[in-house]
Amino acid sequence: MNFTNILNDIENADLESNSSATGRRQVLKSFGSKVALAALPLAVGSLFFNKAYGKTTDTVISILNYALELQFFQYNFYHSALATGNNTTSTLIPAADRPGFLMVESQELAQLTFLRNTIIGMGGVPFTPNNYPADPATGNPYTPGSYDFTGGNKFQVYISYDAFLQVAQAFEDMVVRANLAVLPSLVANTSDIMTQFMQMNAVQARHSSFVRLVRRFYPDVDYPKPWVTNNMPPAVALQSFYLGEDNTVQRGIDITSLPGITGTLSQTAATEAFDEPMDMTTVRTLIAPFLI
Amino acid sequence: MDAMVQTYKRMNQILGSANNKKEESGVLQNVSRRGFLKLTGGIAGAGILLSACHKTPPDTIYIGSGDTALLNYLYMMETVMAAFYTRSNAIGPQYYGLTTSELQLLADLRDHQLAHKELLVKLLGTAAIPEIVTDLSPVTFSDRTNTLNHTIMFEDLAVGAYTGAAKRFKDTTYVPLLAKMATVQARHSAYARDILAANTFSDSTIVNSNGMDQALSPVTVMTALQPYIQTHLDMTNLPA
Repeated sequence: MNFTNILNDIENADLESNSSATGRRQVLKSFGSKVALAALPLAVGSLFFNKAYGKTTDTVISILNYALELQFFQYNFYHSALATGNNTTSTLIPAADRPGFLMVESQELAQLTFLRNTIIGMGGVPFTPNNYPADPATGNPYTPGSYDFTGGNKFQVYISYDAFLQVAQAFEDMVVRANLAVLPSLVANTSDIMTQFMQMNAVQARHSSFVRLVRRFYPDVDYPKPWVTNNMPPAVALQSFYLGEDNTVQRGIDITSLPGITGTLSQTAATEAFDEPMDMTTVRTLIAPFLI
Repeated sequence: MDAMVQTYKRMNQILGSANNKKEESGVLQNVSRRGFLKLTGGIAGAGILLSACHKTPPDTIYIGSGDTALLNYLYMMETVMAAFYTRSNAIGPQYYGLTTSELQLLADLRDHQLAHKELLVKLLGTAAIPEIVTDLSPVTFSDRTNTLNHTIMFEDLAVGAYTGAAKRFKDTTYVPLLAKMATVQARHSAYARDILAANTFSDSTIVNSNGMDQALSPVTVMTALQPYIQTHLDMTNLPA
């Protein structure tokens, strides 16, 4: 029994397997007799830890669940702000901006629903927040008992429109960064999920741009820009959402060394032209004060 | 594809109001695949056969194959956008209805595209094509609506281009870079949409019912950019 051949066979079969679970099952089935005669643990080990779909599927589900967690977070933030549910300040969002925030809310919900359905379709268990009242598979995504978006009375998000906008901006930028950080974990997946993940993240960036533009004219100052300048936060208390956003090096090339319209590109342009990833641990630390 | 149809509609609006400087550009819907293949100077099937002994006609730039072709394609797109914003900025003060706030951000848009363009050409190194000659005659820079509609069209294309290119890269370490540029293009588009018409930053002309932006194939993007490029290109080995 040539062990290398078995592994090669498995590898070749692997390439032709379309779906993760079916692929692994069939690979295991078709090599059952050979593997039985050889060192089973090693062969199976290579299936699961080297090239395996088992690991890939689990990774994809966990990444999608992380994204789902952030969508629950954002959807509930906006749903409360739009004077449904537990919010009592019906005039928080001015009429001129209301259509925009309704669109943001509906798209957060659309992504939430897509992610949940995709996770279920892959055989995973979709994330639910703490104190979640409904059936995760079909239930209401609005779960006010799960969140305190004032962060323990630190931000008056449902009383002050200014505070609401500042926190909204920080959340939108954080989600863009969170999604950028986990994207590499999806590149090995054979389905379209990586592309769809990017498509969703572009919409998050559109939302951030909208919130920032509203802030730019409220209360009537030319700040901020629709893009992230250096690591500038909307308020000092939200600085930690922007750590690392002042990176200027991409694939080993310092953007400030590249030619601009005159001389080289500025530090400002170099940081604005690229959104920066933020790791899961940092993101979880940032959202923790807003969870119940 | 609804969103893409909207992009084409927007393009036709733009091109229709651009004094008909380029009549053939006004019917972009009809350019489709046939026009694109003509632009590439070959058919897809032949491209595969020719790849081993590639011949490019004189006065035509061959953009390479695989990841090199993809990077050159994105480089061309950024070149068109950088040229568009450089011209917009140069005539900015006269550009109808431009506010101080818009003028400030217009320079940012230019600099961001320059950053993307210069990074891509640096990453390509010796595999970079010579800089293409752009054609901005379809743009009416003195008209605010026309210029903003072009901004939106280019930015939406760029979001879709980076997103669509990601899965076509053999070297997947490029994916994070493409993604962090795609989100900035999305910020640009949302901004331009909102200053043209409030609360349209991610409306149904660009975002689908799953809350997703576009992912576009290189063919679709290059077909849309064709009216803005003078250089003859051989893109037979650009991943489809």
